[in-house]
Amino acid sequence: MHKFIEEKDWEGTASALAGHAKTWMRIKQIGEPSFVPNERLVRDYVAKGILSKPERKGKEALFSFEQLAQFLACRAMIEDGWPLSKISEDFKVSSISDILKLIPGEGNDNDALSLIESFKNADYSEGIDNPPPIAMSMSTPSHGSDEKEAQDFLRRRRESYESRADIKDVLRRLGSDFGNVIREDFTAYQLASWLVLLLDRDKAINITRAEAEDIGKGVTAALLNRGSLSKADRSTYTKQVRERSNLDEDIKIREYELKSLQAETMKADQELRQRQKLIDELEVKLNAHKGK
Amino acid sequence: MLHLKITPQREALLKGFDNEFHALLQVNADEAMPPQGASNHLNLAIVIDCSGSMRGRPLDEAKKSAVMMVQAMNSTDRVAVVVYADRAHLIVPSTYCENKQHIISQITEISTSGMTALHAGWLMGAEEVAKYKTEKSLNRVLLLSDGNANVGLTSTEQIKQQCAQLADLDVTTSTYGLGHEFNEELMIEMANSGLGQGYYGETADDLSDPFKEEFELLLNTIATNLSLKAECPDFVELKLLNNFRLNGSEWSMPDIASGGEGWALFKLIINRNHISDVPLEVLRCVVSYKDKEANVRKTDPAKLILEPLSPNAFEAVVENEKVKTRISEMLVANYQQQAREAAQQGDWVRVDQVVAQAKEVAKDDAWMRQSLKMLEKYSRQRQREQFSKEALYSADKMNKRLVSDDESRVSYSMDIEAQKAAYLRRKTERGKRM
Repeated sequence: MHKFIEEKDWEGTASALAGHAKTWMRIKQIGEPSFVPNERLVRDYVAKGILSKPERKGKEALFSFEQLAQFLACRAMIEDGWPLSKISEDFKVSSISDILKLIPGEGNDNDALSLIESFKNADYSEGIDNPPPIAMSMSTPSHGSDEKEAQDFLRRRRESYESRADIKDVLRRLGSDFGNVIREDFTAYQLASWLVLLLDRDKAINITRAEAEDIGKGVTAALLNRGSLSKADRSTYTKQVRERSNLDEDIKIREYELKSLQAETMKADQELRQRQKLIDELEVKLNAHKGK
Repeated sequence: MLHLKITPQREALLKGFDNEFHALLQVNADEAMPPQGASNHLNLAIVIDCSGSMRGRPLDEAKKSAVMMVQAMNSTDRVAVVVYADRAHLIVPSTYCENKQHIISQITEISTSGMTALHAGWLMGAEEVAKYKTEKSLNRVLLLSDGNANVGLTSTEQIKQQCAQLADLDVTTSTYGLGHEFNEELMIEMANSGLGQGYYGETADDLSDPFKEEFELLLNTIATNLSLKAECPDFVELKLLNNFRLNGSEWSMPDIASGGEGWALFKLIINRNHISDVPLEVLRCVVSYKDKEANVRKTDPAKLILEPLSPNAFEAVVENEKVKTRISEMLVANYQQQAREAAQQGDWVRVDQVVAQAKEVAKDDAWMRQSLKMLEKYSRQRQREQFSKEALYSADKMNKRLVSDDESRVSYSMDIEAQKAAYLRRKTERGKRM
């Protein structure tokens, strides 16, 4: 299979674009196999500003690699649940290299270059004189703040990938210690613009003076303790916390079982007493009957 | 193919006592020399500081070293040249070393101006290297500076992190400090995080040695991306004494080059309650690495199993000389670091005390003794910057040098060292030519 970038000299009519897009959608596994793009859809996307305008050659409108890439990226975005209006808005400020990154398996696969690009995008990168273009030779000039918008769009798209992925896998990649999402409500105390203390909401409501003082001492110790936990220590500590959490859970279950057993024992005792009482009554009656 | 061996300080455990001892992990390749012409292609960027302070001999020597490097490269190797002062400029975009004259003429035209945009220069060099890295290329940025980063990103911590991140993607960094004004901590941290080498030259004349050392090392590299995994039972307290970069739960070890042994020194502490009569496995190591064909390989695990002995029997077990030497080197390196800190505070009494302690440890080793003598020279003359740089680079070298296989058999002499590959030589002064 050849690479999509090798199509860079492709040119064709709206109908040819639809046909070619269909082939690439199969290769890239974008959307349902039953979906068939057609000329009308291509023209509709041009009207909506998703595809840039084709070049006029005589009576014909000729589409190129750029529109083919836009079409595939658009279909990939639709599969991710993005509305056409949003796609159109963002494509207007995206360069061809940005568009390519939205197509599965395309874009910049040199991780080191991507990393360098991210270093350069940080604020401190002044001092670099006319950095050569990093992406592809056909990249269009950057758009200043528009470029940032396009990056946000890319980021959001990556986020949508994440939310679709299996949550366990995502958490494993993140090095989650619990294997599941723990949701907790916190109260934030902003002591200064640079200092925010987060406290469990329930704990914050019921906190005692002694506990508040202990938090102060704890924070002091944490800030001044240079030999804080190493990664290995942290891992052991997390393991212990997890084990303790499991043990707490076990204890709760056992306590519940114990209470149930105690309740059943009480109930059985009561029944026993009632039956004993009944037996006693019957014995009294029997004796009375014998006496007669 | 790499092989591992773990050698303990003594081949036994002492019964009835808490045990605290060292163990040496040795990493060796089974090929003495790489086959001719089979070395990986080089993909380098030479990044030269041309700020005002480099005017005159420093820049001339830097250019000479760069030219020497280009001349020695094969036509299938790639090189880029970046210069930086207020800004970074790409004067030779990465190219094959086919038209060497063109590259050399671009280098000779470099002139000085302005400040030190060190980060921007490094990043531009890294970009050129990253563009053309392949699975089989050795990708490295060689950064030369005689000053401190003062334009753009200047934080050592952030620059170091970037070097580490790029090294993880196979773009490594070596640094060359020149003179007495450069920031040795930044340069050493960049090299350590960037999984390359840290060198310095006290004068412009001393610069050619490090370039030669690096070049020979690159040409003779057998294994790269070494990642050491060490495991031990819960009852063993394990500490790695080398200053290798920790990557997750594994340590990044220096590359292995022909004729050189890589090593790591561990300290183990075992509580007496866990030592019974049966042999105990106390340490297991595995190293993953990339061979010359860019295949990721893993060594067989090396295990350290020790038999518990009674005090009398234990006393009879001889201490391993090689392990003893490595322990001494690590101790001396540690003392050098302490002496450097004292020198930076201007506490020369403390410096002398620490150096004296180091000399006591080094008394049986001619190389270490002479290295310390050179440090004493700076201490006597109260040359803070010189002392600081020499102590730091010497300590760093002792932490991660490749050991040549004849060291334990042949006594130390400059003549013998001069015959070895440049990367295996034990120099008595890191900043001076041999």
